[in-house]
Amino acid sequence: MNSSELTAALSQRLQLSKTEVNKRIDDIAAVITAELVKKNTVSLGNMGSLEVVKRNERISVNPSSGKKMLIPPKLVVKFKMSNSLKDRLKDLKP
Amino acid sequence: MNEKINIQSLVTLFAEKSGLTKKEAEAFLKEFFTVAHEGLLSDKIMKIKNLGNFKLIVVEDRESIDITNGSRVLIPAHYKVNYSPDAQLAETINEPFSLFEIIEVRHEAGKLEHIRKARVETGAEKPAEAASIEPITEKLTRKEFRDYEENTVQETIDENIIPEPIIEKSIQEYKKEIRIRETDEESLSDEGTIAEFASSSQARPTWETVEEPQEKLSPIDEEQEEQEEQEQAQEIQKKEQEKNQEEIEEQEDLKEEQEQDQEQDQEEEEEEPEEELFFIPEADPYEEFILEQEAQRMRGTEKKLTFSIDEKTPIQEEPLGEEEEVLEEPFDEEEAVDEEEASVEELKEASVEELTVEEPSPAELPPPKTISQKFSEIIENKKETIREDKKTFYEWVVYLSIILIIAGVYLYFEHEERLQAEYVNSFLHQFDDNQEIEQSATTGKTSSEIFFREREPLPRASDTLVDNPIVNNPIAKIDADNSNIIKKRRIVAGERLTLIALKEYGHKSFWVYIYQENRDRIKNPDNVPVGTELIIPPASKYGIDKNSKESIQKADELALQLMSK
Repeated sequence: MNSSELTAALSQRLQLSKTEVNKRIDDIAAVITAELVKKNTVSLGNMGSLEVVKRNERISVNPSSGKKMLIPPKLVVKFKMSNSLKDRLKDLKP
Repeated sequence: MNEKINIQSLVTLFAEKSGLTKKEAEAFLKEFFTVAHEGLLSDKIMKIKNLGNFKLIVVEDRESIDITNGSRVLIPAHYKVNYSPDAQLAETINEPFSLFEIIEVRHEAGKLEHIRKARVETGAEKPAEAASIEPITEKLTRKEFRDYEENTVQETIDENIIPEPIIEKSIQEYKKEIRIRETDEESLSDEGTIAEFASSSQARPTWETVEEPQEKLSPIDEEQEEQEEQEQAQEIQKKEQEKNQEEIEEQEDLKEEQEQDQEQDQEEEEEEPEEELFFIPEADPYEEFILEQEAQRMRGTEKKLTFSIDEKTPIQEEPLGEEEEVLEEPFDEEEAVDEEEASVEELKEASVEELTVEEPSPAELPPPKTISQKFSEIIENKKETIREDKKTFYEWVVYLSIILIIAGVYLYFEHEERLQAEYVNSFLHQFDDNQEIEQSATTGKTSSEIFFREREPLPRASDTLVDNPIVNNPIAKIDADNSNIIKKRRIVAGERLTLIALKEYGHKSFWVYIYQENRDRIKNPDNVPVGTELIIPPASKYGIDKNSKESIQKADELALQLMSK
């Protein structure tokens, strides 16, 4: 499911126009981003939560050239799935 | 910071942002997450604009070990969620660290730092400092000398990146250094002024060269430098005094000079403890050790060598172009002779020769080359003898070690052979009345074969040995006759069923039969406890034949069946 499909599904279920849904989705994303920038953990309801973690700097070697590179530290967003999603995934057999 | 924004607070924030009522906002958010949840599960991918992609990824099933009881567990294939944030979002989040860039690590920088450290630790500056003096024995004009000095200093620094002290060199260097320091110490007793030094210091580049490597390698305290300058100045003053003394002496006979030497000798003795005090803390323990050893070894010949080395120190000072210092030379030489208490006639003559040659000539003219050549020859000879000594010593070490190794190998084999023989003998004694053994002995079974059998547990009254079915081997025939004979063996550390099967039947696939025979004892065929007594069934019981593909295949199939249970 991509963004447009999501919008369509939401507009159908909530009886809202697609533009309205789109605007609201943008707002949600903006709110979540703003909270993540503050390093807060944001809950995504029954899906899980998003949090910011720091990846430490490390030295990696380019296998083809053998050059050693110092990869700087990084802040990344990490998704942690909720227990309900976990349970659902267990039932879902590949 | 690090707060947990739950769904309620998110609703509040969302309502504020979009200007909705809380109820509307909550309804929308809940619906949004539910749809996203369902969408993710149904399509295995969920793309949300400005937030990122959620993807379900299949994790293949894999085997693992239950840490509580060590048994094997199969983790079934399952899904996991992979989240990749939107590029814009990732960038915004990483804002605080965005200034960092990927840097290529340069090894050289670290290496250099390391070498510098090592140099400071091993005190490698000292040889560098001393080595820079050595080549200056040749007479050069001041300009040439400057150029040369720069090169040699650079060279010596390069050499010392890997500090590898050469024995002869280090001896010479240290002797020289001692000499220089000593003169420094001497001059300390006299009083001197820096002003005087300033005028004369330019004329004495030798001292500059001594200091320069140190400056390059490690920063010296300014105080120390100043002190050394003072020392130099004092030394010059002292030398001036000596010169005057010397001038008077030269007019007299050589014999009188010798008398003077004796007086100086006494002075030397007084100064000696001072010299030692100075030398010990300065010396690198390693080089000091070498010095000591070498000095002991060539005590006899060294006297000549040290004399000639000491000779160098004054010669170095020659390019300075000052009469005083040239005149001072013989004094130093004599001193050196006395110090070593060596009255080598030849060298004395040389010193006399130098005296006579140099007296009339001003210092600007280079001193006769013959003398320096003579000395360099002597030095070369000494160096060679030392080198040869070392060479022969190392050769002897190599020979000795080879002989020792050969002896060790010989002894080891002899011991092994004896042990084997004893083993066979005892074996034969024990089973003297056993027909099989007699038979095998008479048919010329090699001792190693008996040895191999011997390592297996001794058969009991009812048991007899079952060996590998070796074609055309008398033992194999006997085994075939006694097909109902069962063998027992105890499992030892490092042994597995497959290994036993390989030993007993000639193919590892036949481990299944051993397992089948011992099912009451073996819980897990992959992990048989050490010390378990196993019954090894005879090959004929299961139709084991290592040469038959069918037999092996049958065993493999059986193994598969057993494992799948």
